[in-house]
Amino acid sequence: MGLRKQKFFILALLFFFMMDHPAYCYIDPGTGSYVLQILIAAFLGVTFAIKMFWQRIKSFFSGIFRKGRGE
Amino acid sequence: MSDFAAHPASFRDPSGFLFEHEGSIFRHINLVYREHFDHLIGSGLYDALVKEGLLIPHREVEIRQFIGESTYKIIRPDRIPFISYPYEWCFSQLKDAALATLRIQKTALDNQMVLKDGSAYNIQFLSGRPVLMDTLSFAKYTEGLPWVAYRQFCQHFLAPLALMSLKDVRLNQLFRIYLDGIPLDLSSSLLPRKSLFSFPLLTHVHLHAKSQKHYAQKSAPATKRKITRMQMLALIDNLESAVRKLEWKPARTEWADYYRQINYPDEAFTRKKALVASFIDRVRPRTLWDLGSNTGLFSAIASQKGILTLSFDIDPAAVEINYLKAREAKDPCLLPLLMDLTNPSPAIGWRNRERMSLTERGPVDMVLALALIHHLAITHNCPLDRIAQFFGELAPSLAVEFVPKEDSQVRKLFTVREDVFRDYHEEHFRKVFGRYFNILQAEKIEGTVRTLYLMQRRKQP
Repeated sequence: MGLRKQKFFILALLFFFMMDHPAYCYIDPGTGSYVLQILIAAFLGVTFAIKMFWQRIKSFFSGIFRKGRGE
Repeated sequence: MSDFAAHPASFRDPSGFLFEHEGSIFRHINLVYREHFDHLIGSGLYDALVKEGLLIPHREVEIRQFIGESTYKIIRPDRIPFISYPYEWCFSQLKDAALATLRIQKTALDNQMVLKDGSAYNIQFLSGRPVLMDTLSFAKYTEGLPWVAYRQFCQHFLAPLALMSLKDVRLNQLFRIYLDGIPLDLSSSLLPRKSLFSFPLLTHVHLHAKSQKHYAQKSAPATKRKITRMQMLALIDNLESAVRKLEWKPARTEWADYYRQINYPDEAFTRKKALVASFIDRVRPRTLWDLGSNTGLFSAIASQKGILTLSFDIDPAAVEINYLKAREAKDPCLLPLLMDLTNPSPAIGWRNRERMSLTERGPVDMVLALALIHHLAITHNCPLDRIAQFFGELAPSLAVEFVPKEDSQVRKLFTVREDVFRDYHEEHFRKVFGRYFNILQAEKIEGTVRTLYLMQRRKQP
């Protein structure tokens, strides 16, 4: 939960920072997508690693319990 | 290369193009794509995706007259019997197409490739399932590079699904105006405030739109930040869970509870089904369009006979229910689609030739128009003559139900509108439909005041 809050806070800051720039329809939106993707992926990479790690721990313990019940 | 031209919708990708030859569709693979195509086949990605039913199978062919300097290979993909577009899909169809796209991207990454397009138009429904139809959508993966199709995926899938789920399901119609998906700044301004509290929507839609605006006048930042493989997987995982979380449940809309409301006696309904089945058996069509199909009860009669059946309705809830039923039944022959028959899908895109109109995607062997013409004639003021003409343009065989003014459903239409439809009666109906069709059979549906007609188009002079 702490991590989620932190993530939200940083992104909210970024959000306000970026506000109120006029749109120009003829300009390729590719650059903004490119920069944002790198930023988001960096955040998500951390949570994803934790998620995978946690899943491994969970499956390790559930494996032990299953074994225990089996015996 | 001699006398052949690329398909009018196939010109953006330098890797190759589609062309038509003797009624079949072929894909010309350019030499520049050689390395990627070889990797697609050699890495086992092609086999893995085809096995999972996620990619259209093809076979390599040699047609001498089409081989030129830029040719690497010519392939013949399996035929897709009916091309449909995202503005014709219900919520769950777009959602299934989005999830298929992400599964394909994950499988591609496992095989050192990436999807270079995230376009909803690259997905088609084949035997009831979403399939990638563009074999040239893959590029070899270079670790560090961001996902090149990220923006397109957000515009074609995530933002439209969020709009349909959180704002209004009809917003998928924006696809008709914006050929490359719904612009993110527009999506951001339309989405309700609560979407800001969803992390994926805050980032992939709202912040994404802001970032596009912010960098619109600037060149890319000089720092070459990279995106690792793990980060790429994290991004795909996040998009996938975002798509999965978005839902839309059909509420009681105009038509979705029609069958429950209607004051048909059960026997009449059974009789009508039997009559429709006997008409279909008499015509024995290969393809059938059910116009105004509601949740597809009558379409299923045809599709269960192995007839490729398109089930069109104007109501997003009816199409959603129809699709979910067909998906559960694993019906390979039924494709429910959203269509307003008084304003069917037009031809759009570059030179008005990229996306076909509805009628261009015909003709069809048989049309079903059950409990429909009173809506076209009375609700939409469309003269019976024009309705007959339209049906005649679509198919040589027609099963049409005439619903007279005495019918309770028609009487309901007149509670709020004046009856100015003097010509709306069965005699006139027979007369004007007779101009375009020969009446083969007319059967009263017992227990109702309706009549079911089987007609065959007159030979054109």
